[in-house]
Amino acid sequence: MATELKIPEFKMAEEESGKWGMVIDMDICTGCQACVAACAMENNVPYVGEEDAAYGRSMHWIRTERFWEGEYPEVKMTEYQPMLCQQCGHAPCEPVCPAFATVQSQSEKLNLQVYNRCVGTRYCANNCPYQVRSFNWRDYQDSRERPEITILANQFNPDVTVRRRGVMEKCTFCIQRIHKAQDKAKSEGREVEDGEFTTACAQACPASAITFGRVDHHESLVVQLARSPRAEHHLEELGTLPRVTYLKGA
Amino acid sequence: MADNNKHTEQAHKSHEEHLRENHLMLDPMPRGEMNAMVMESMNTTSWKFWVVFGLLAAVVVYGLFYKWGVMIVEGLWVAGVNRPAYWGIFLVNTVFWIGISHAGTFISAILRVFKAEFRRPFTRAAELMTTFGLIQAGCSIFMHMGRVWLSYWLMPIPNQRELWPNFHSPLSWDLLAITTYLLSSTMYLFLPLIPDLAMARDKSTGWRKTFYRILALGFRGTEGEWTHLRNALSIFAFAIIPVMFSVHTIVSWDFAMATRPGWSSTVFGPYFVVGALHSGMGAVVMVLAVVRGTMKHMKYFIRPEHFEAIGKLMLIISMGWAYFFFNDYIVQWYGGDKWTKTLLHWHEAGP
Amino acid sequence: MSKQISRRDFLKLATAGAATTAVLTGCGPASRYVDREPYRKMPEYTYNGLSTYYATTCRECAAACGLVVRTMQGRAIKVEGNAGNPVNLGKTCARGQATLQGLYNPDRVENPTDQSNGSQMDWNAAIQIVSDALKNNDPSDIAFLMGMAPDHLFDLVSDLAQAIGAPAPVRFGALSMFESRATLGKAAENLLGQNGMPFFDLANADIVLSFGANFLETWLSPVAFTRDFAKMRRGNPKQRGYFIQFESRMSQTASKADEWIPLRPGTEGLVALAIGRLVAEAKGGTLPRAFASVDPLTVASDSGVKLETLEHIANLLLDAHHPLAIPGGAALGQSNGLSTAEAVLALNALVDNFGKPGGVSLSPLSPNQDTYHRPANAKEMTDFIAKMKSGSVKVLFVHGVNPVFELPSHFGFADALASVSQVVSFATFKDETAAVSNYVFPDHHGLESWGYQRTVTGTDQSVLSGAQPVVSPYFNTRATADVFIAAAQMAGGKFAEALPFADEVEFIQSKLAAFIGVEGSFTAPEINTFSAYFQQYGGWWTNVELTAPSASSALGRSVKVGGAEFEGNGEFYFLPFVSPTLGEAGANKPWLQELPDPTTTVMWNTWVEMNPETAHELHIENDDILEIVSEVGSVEAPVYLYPAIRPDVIAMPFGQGHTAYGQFAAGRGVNPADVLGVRFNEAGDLAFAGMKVEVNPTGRKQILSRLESRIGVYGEGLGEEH
Ligand SMILES: Nc1nc2c(c(=O)[nH]1)N[C@H]1C(S)=C(S)[C@@H](COP(=O)(O)OP(=O)(O)OC[C@H]3O[C@@H](n4cnc5c(=O)[nH]c(N)nc54)[C@H](O)[C@@H]3O)O[C@H]1N2
Ligand code: SF4
Ligand code: SF4
Ligand code: SF4
Ligand code: SF4
Ligand code: SF4
Repeated sequence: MATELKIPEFKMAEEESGKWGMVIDMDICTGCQACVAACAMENNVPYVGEEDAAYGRSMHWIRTERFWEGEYPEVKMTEYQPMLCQQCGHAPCEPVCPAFATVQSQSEKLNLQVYNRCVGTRYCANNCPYQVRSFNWRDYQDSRERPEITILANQFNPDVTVRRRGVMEKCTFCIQRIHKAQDKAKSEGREVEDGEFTTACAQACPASAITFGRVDHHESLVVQLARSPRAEHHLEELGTLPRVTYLKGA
Repeated sequence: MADNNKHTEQAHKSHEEHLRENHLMLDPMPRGEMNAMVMESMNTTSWKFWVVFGLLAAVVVYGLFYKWGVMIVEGLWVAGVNRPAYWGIFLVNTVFWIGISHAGTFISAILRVFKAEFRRPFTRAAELMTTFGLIQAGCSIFMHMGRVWLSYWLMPIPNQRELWPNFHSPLSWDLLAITTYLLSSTMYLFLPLIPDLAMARDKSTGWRKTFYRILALGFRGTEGEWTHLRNALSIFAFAIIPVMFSVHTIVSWDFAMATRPGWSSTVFGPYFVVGALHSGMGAVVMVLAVVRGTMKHMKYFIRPEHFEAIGKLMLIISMGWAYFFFNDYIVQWYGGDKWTKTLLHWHEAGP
Repeated sequence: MSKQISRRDFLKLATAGAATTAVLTGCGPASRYVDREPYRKMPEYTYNGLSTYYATTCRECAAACGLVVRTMQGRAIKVEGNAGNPVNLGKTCARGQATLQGLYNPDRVENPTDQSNGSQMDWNAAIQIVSDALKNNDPSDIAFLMGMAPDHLFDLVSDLAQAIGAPAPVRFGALSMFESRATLGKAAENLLGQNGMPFFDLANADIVLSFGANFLETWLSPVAFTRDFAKMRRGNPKQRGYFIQFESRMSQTASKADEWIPLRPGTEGLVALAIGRLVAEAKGGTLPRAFASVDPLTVASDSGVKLETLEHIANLLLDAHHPLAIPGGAALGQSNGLSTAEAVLALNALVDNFGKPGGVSLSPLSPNQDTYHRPANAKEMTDFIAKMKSGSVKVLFVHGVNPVFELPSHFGFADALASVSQVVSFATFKDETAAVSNYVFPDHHGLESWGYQRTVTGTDQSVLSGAQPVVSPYFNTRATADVFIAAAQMAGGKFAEALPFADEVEFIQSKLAAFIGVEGSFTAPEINTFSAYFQQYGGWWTNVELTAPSASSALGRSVKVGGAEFEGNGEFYFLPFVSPTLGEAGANKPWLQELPDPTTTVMWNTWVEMNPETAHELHIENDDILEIVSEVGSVEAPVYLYPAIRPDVIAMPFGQGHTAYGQFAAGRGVNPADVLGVRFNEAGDLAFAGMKVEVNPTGRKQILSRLESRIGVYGEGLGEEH
């Protein structure tokens, strides 16, 4: 019996290649939050309200981090650093999930979150070095708990599952958009081209600080941008093989 | 009989006390009398016992049934957990109760192996504590889950969807380790209990007799039965020790294998085990104090000298624990990771 | 079968539209709306799993960004930028994204309401009331108060007012007040010869000095400016643009600056002149009049900016190929704001960037624009309020603005309303003004509406953004333009003649007719085709020559920047700023509330920013509630110890503090405008940054909801660690 089970293999870090990738230019990100709002609208991300947000239960799939250096008047703010799931090629969140609810997709080369399979142990969130996972501490999208959802829910994206309490979630690289583009390309008998579609955050970003595309096409924009001498990967030393590349400022 | 007792007590008082102080296991009373005392304490319960029982029962009803129910329906915000430490009280509880449970095995199995006879009066309390501590730890794991109604997905149950738990996850091993430990410690509790259950069966009436008869498994006290029982216990005592060590080592992996600064420490395995023994011994002392104070005749069996002996043991263990406590800091500091160092700085300086 | 094919064709068109801009939808009123159906009951033209995209215009601010809204079975699902619209080229800001939560908002006005008894009305009765109000009042007693958007309604109301002899409608929005629009316009008129927004070619500049302009937040056209900023920084692979912001508090815009110069409030103009003088001296030749009277050394001590810093900046300007200086925001919201704006424009003249790439030009006028469309400044608003108080306004129509909240309470708008016998609000939401109106005749949400909007600035093209309904109205609302048209018809006579249209769409077409045959983003031979394209592309735009103002005349003017005068004698300068995420009207959308403020990460509330060192001296800790007392009022809010603000300045975001406006807004935070006095600069704009206030700890605490963690997970305190 056990031999028939298809348990995903965890490959060595160096073996993992990518398919989709993102480059974020921190030098031009203005911290404007358009990406955050766009992601919330595209992915039915719940707002949690003032109290829960104060407790640290907000559910942004992407956030802009900024740090302070020095003291007035020599104070400086670091660049805004939009932080979202890095779609690690060697993701620390994956091996710790006892239910295989967060797994590396072999076909998409993405870190998947399978809401239906998640039992809510929150181990993955503890082990994500980027702290980009968010947990449904309540039934935020249930109109029985929140009557206002009845109307707000008209806006929900039918391509994206609405999550209920006890489930972990995170940025999916807008996988519903990837699938749409793939379906279209398949029906037209071709491959998805770089730049044919983009994620909600990249699409909204007024500074065009976010670029999304195919990292397996060597001439694609993301690959070219990632060659910049300004390029860096966050917490690379942990061996996570992040698929998001950041471009530092001057 | 009461008179007789009194007389004996008076006659031997000073000499006997002197002897008992030096020989913790010396029980000058005839076995039959002691059995009678034990049976009396089992059949008659003081009001104090019922007060303690009532309080605990209220806690169980309120906490386990009512509050847990609320949490299942409302979501885990009820537990006050949040980012960035997504675990909280329930995982801490799990670790804590597994730790508590270690004392039972330690006292009973290790001291049995080393033939430390003074353990006898309190092994049973300690073993019971192991079992109940583990049940408590298991409950905490379930309380901890966001969707507890799907907890069976963590079990390797063959199913047509070919869904299988992930054995790379320390959590899966936790579950297995705790289950193993629970089963073996229950058996280890039960085996030495058999002769006593037989005694209780012989000395009780009514529903109690039926109850004990079933549990005693027909034990009659023949030499053959005793030999088998002793052999079984010797094997178990040796076998359960590695299980005990492994279970808390595995629990420590939950943390040690995470990438989190402050968690990812190689010293966690033995540190957790020693810490468990330390807290477990402490818990035994507390349980004994309650049993001694609330149950009849227990002052006779559980004596200050026993507390002193456990105290010495705890002193030794706490030295070991102190070593690991500081070792944990030193090893992490020596590791030199930037974030761990920052964390250590906050440990000492506050936020 | 033929039906099948036509559906296929439709789908092809739909997908093509999705990829480029938008879908061509019906052009007559008969096919105005796509019905919202339950998912299980599919409209004939909707395919399961396929979206329909409509181009329209964002109405969350007046910048006129083009949108393409993805809809599914008659529901608006996602807002995307219209890549064809020259203003935003496919991008949006956060408020544009969240506009859907305004569309599907639990606190919309669902029916026409008679507020005297709270009862719902019939639309016919409502139109009757509007009609009677128009007909039965002396035209001079009728007043129209309009918001900054939409322009088509403003045009319709203007035409109506003109035809019946009523005073021209007044336009207002808190954003225009905090932008100091009137001041910039006046300065442009004085120095450049055109009253309007100058066009700052940020994208092609290599050194940018911004004097208080918060152009990455809410200022004029933030999406366009953000795009241009990105180009300035990284558009030229050989040189990274350098950006310096002069501001007493590090705003979100300043946080992107390479140098943030925390000068004393009110000295921005002096600093601009001092830099100009240093540049002029280095250049040699005669000192232009504008810079003749300033002494850099005195400016250095007045402003708190070191002389070396001024010299260093002057040197940067001298080395630059495309230097640019932008005046705006709080720097102009001072008693000396107009001269500050003039000084900064003169600096541009000095570095000789007029009409050049990376320099200052005159903004192209939008199609069918004239100066008459500009918003009222604060002074004109006080005149308007005085008129209301005097009782000479009998009926007031309010649309697109919430003056009870947006005007500083000390202006007394709410009190003045009591002197108006009939107040009719066309509010979409239950806002503060609607709450005290006699009638609320709700307009559709912007995404359910027809219309057009002129652009302010942000593009070098002349743009008219077009709006069309992307979904059918969710509630029993009606387009205000339709209400006016119907009311005018009902009133008959000159009223009917003023608005001789069947409906709003016909009115819009009458305005668009002027562009038939004109060279532009598309041309069409007749109106139906034109307006169909207008819908499909989300507007019409055309190339214009940018005109360069004359540098010599700008330099020839003498610019005298006096010291700014401050109202009150508290020890802190008070700096209100518009919340970058909420804007003036975002507080009713839960996701905007939950967006962390970019610089402080605070969500869902109002805070007071104070320098940590100052706070330490006053024994004030994070989250202590402070009372801010000015001459005219006081507010209380928890303090956020903000590392990048001058020790003598405290700042507060504008956007919260609603008493109505729905469950997400009401009773949350405070409105800093409540402590603002009535003092103007030379251009009639409110000197909103010209207050000095006292700060009293109340001894109470309120924990602010922040995304950053106090214990350092997000790095607080990491600065000194390594
Ligand atoms: N080429 C091809 N055609 C087939 C088949 C095939 O194998 N190949 N299979 C056939 C068979 S067996 C079947 S059953 C049919 C299935 O055909 P459909 O019933 O059309 O199945 P789906 O494509 O899954 O579409 C379901 C739609 O429901 C929406 N939806 C998702 N969740 C909800 C919800 O909670 N409420 C509502 N109201 N809507 C929701 C989704 O957006 C989706 O658009 O297809 C048949 N047609
Ligand atoms: S960023 Fe975090 S959640 Fe995303 S793949 Fe990496 S470890 Fe997993
Ligand atoms: S929370 Fe869900 S996804 Fe995360 S580890 Fe637990 S079961 Fe897996
Ligand atoms: S890629 Fe998609 S899911 Fe991820 S942050 Fe961006 S919008 Fe959200
Ligand atoms: S939308 Fe772009 S500029 Fe704005 S915060 Fe996100 S990444 Fe930065
Ligand atoms: S800048 Fe104004 S018009 Fe443009 S998207 Fe934002 S709110 Fe809408």
